[in-house]
Amino acid sequence: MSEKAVMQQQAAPKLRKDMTKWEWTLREMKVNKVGYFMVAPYYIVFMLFTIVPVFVSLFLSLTQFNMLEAPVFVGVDNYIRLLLDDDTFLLAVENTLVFATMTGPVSYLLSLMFAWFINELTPKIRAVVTLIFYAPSISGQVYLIWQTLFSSDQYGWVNGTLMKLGIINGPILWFQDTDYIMTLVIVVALWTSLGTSFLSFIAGFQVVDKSLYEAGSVDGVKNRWQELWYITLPVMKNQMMFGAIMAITQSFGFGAIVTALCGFPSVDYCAHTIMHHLDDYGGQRWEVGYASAIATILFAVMIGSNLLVNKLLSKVGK
Amino acid sequence: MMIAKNKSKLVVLLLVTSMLLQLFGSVAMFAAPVSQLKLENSTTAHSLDAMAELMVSTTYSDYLALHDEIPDATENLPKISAADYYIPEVVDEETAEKVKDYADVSVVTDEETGEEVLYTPGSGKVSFKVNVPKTAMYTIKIKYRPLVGSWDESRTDDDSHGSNIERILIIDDLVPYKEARTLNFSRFWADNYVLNSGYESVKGEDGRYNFRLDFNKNEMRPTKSEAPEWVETYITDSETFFDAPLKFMLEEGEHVITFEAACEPMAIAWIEVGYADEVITYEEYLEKYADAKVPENVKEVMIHAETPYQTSEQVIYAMNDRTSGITYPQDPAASLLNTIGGNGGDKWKSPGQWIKYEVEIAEDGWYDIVPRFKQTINQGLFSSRSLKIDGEYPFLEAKSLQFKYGDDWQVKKLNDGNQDFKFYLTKGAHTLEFRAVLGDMSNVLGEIENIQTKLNDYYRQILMITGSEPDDYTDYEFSKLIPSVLTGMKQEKKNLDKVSKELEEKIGTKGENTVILDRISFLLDEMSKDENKIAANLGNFKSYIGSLGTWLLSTKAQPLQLDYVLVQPAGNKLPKANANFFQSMAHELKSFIMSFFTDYNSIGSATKIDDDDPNAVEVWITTGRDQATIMRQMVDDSFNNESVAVNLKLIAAGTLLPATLAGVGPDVSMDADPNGYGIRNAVVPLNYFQDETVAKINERITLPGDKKILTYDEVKKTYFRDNDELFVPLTLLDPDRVEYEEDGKTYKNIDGVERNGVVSYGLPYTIDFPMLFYRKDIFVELGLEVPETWDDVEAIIRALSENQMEMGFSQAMTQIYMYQSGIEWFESAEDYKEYYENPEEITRDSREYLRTVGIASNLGSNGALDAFQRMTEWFTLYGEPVTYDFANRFRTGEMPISIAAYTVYNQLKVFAPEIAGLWEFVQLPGVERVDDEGNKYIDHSTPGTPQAVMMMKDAVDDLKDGQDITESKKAQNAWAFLQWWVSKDTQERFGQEQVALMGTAAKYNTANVDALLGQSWTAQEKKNLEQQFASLKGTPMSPGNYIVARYTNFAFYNVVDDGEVASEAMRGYIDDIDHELSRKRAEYGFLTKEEYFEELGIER
Repeated sequence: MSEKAVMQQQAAPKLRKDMTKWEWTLREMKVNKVGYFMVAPYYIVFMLFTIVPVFVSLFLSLTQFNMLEAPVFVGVDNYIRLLLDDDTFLLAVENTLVFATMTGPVSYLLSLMFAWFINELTPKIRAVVTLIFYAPSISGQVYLIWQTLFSSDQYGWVNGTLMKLGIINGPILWFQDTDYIMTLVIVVALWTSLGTSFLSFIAGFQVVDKSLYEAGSVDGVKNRWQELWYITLPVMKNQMMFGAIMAITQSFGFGAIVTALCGFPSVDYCAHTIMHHLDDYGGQRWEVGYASAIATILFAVMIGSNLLVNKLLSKVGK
Repeated sequence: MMIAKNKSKLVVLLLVTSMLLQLFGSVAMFAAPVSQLKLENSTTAHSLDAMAELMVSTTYSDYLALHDEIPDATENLPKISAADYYIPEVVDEETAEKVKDYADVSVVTDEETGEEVLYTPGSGKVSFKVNVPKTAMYTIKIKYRPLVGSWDESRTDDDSHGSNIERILIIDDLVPYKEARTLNFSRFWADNYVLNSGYESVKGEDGRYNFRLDFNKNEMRPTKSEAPEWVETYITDSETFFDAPLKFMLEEGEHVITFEAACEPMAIAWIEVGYADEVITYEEYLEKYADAKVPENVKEVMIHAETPYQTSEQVIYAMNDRTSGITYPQDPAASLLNTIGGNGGDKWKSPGQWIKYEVEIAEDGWYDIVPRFKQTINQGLFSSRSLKIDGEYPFLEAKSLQFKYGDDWQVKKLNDGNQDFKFYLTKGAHTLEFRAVLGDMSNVLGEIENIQTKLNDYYRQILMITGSEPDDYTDYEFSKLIPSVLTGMKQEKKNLDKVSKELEEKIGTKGENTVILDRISFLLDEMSKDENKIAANLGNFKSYIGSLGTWLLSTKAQPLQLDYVLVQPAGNKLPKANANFFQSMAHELKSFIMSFFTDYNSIGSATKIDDDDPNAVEVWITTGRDQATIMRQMVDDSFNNESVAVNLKLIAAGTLLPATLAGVGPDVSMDADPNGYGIRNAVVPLNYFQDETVAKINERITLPGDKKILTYDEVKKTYFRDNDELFVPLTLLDPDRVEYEEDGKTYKNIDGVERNGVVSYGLPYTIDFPMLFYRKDIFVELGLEVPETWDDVEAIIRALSENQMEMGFSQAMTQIYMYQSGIEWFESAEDYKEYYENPEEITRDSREYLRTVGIASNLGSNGALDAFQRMTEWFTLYGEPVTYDFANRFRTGEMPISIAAYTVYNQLKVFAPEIAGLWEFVQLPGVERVDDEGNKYIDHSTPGTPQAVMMMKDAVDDLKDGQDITESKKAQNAWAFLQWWVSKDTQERFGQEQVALMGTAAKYNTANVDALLGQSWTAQEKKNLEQQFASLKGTPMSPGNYIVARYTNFAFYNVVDDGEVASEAMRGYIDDIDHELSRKRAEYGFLTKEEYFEELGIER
């Protein structure tokens, strides 16, 4: 018997012979009823507004539903159409993955780097610099400044300047030109995404016990990289997990910024994300069944990437 | 002294001549033949000469300076009775043409005075001949009376719409100066208060008139009616830049004085050319009544400001103020109308607007007039009012009374900023008229406005040379091309410095108000000294002129809110202006507690709405609260609320869908998307309301005034001039929809009339469509004609681009072209008629199929591709901008012509007063077509987007199985409401109420064309609107129609951004569009193209 199996056996609770598992649970619930009572408000609300809708959406994804008439059951037709007969969806998946990579891992690593650098500064300067980096994500709609900068009008800042310098002759329709949309949106996305994860990293760096570094140097840590990898990061694993999950949900839910900057939908769907596709079918075409199918797939992708991140983070410091 | 005067005169002369020369120069330059398609039936005739006649740019101050050696008149010439009006004799074609412009007037004996007077309509000219014995500067006095309603039922040009009466004064075929182009003659409006049995307004114990109360005891804004009277008035500047009567230089001999009507009819009794008496100063006034005493034992009289005797405009009405606990009267729960004026809208803050009060004085003597007022808007400045007692200024200083800025309510004696005034009043009734004026600021602001006009002109002249993106390093040789602009800039810099100093003296400090002037002055200095800096600073120059305009607009406003005006014996103690701490606390606390008991939902209703009434019609609207209140009042007044209860609810946009889904939606929705809800069977088809059903409704319900409830077809005919195009976007055509089933019930056609699958889902009540806006002054300057066709537009664009100006196009151009060339937006089954082997044998069923619209888009057709190509060329070939701020570029003149929604009219009226009268909208340029008989005509079609009122499915939830939709009582009630709402009277009143609420610039874009034209447009505007309205074209309703606009947009950007070939770019999307249309049609069980082809046996 392997060591692991022995431990499992020891950990398994001993069941009583005189009652079934269900009766035992009920009894335990009665004993702890105060606890159940206290979690009830949250639990009920959570069930009603999160769990139930997820299942309703799963069911609706198997129907054709136009929001005003009763849904018609169509089996997996929606999925078949979505995966095999919807070019726009494939484009949206591609775009979403690009955005997810940029606002997810890239921005995640950038946040980590920035947080690490900033952590080296004196507290007062650190506070100021933190504010500068965090500002774009506090002030919700501030990305609209990009619309002013890259306005399609010939009097827009960038257009005006470029025309003055003689680089271009007429105004460029920045957010309506397929050549520029993606690049611009990615820049804006990176700029705004240094938000929550960045802040949690800063907090994470603060909680590392200084004595650990001392112990590390005694044990033979030679440089800052080793310090980061073997001491700092393992200690702040929780913050990293939080940051990662936030980054993932954010990156897959990315869309509002594109809509605000490029309109809806973007020209030739070139910055169309899964979120947009969902919006298109749910909000504009009123095909809630199909939209639910999209949502279900998005849901699955998100869960998958969360698991993946969990796996990757467990490798930190090893 | 004399030399200096002559010098300034010389400069003015120089300026004027140089400007004139320039004008001729440019006209000569651009008078090159603009190919013009003149067709017999062309209705837009805009003669260049007629326009040029009115486009005078001389200002009154220039005019005075030019004639400063001519003495003022010293005697009044004999009055000219209006009945002796003059019409020039017809001698040749030219004069015959001129006489055509003369108005069709009527001489009427006035009932009050017995005088013979002249009724003049809202358009055309009226002239008077005057014999001047001596060359002098004369004033003109006129006795007039506003007309109400219409005096002759057989004509339409004499209707009065209750807006400002506007005239243009022309002397011997010329408008002498700019100010004479817009002369306003005010009207007289009186509030309607609660009446007693003797039809007299009821006064409370405190002497305040009673307002009508709603169900919650809130006071309701009183309606106003006109109380016209005969008035004698000098012709003065309507913007009040000059407070003395305007003077006109008349040389010895015969002259013709002409009043051209721009707006509204009026009656004229006589005009008098002569001189105006000087008003005495305050010092003289004190001396004049030196013997008078201060009355003793006389109680003060409180005039409640919210109940005026008369106002000049209906938009000046009583308002609720909750900011102070001692504003009289005040109530913690109900909203009482306790003040008048304030900052919102155009309420007694534009110069010229006045309020008149009546006051009863008990004894002769000296009195103080003490208002309790609030002026929290014009920071650091003051608002001005002039005071006339019994129609006369008591003394000179009363022309510019000041109300200083303060952060709370103030109680002060009337003063001019230096001293307080007392007034001598005799026993008996008097009127006090407070008129908003520019007062002490008038000189400064007048000067600045002149400077602004000139700077705008200079900007445009520079722009014509450099273009909007000038190169900093090119030598444009301004000093050779436009030397007058350079000298002009130097002159304006000097003027600005002077004005800035004056302003500083007036307000006592240098601050935010002078900073913009100093900045421009600095910039002008730099640009005029070194012409190489002009190009580099042009951007700044433009934005500075823009901010100067904004500053001027806000500084010209004279906001003032009044609570009461006390007339008390001179020297008495003043009351307190503000509540003390305990009063304020009690007020706030009471208001807070009462807020829990106030019903905010039932909007302004006079009666309690019974929520449980099963047949009450629930109407949802998402507009503003004010509009909802108006609607409520209208329902209470002119809709039978007893047999049909209407429950009006103001809801947030976006609530309709979830509510309808949950089955708690409204019975009538004012702004749902007819397409989306219609194809999903959430709407009751309205064309089912025909004879039999409506007869049933008429038996049960009578509307006030015994108005019959009309059938759907009658509504269409009576209220919409049978204009099908308005209904196209609200109507579905599909034979598969003859009847439909829901919840196991089958709803059938009724009346024995086959509706053939035609279902109409709404009645339009507003509509928007593009028209062509252009700047008259620039067109005159460049010698351009208003375009009739798109070929004319090409010629205009060439002329504009030579002068570095541009034209604004809309992206709806593809649709416009297609409609004008007679190409439909969608394909219909009819397009495949040829595939029937024997067209004679087409069965009834297949005939119905033929009418199916929307089975495919029509964008792939040759005509459509051509239209798309032409549309993109404006942007690619001609380089016109895709993105632009229309109002701003239109105002600077950079974009003197543009296609824009006609409702932009309202915005321009408010936003750009400095170009008032210099622009207009006309119908779109068109495409030349040939009709069936081979006659050429120009198609001016414009795509219209209506907003509809719809009856939702909830209205028929009282039906039992097997019953017909129209058997539902609630649906019948709802129909009664719908057809009432779109009726002419209702829409017209709604428009009027909106104007009364927000000012004359808030015109309502109703889809009821008679109600639309019934608003106060000028004759020309009305004509243009009616023409464009007649060529409206609706885009049919069809499942999946959103996809067409989306992909057309994609194709457009592909062409503009990447230079793709237009037809190729569009063709790339056709399959996707048709695919989506078929998919969407299949989803809702409509006939698809594939099915249809299969039936016809067409291989594809």
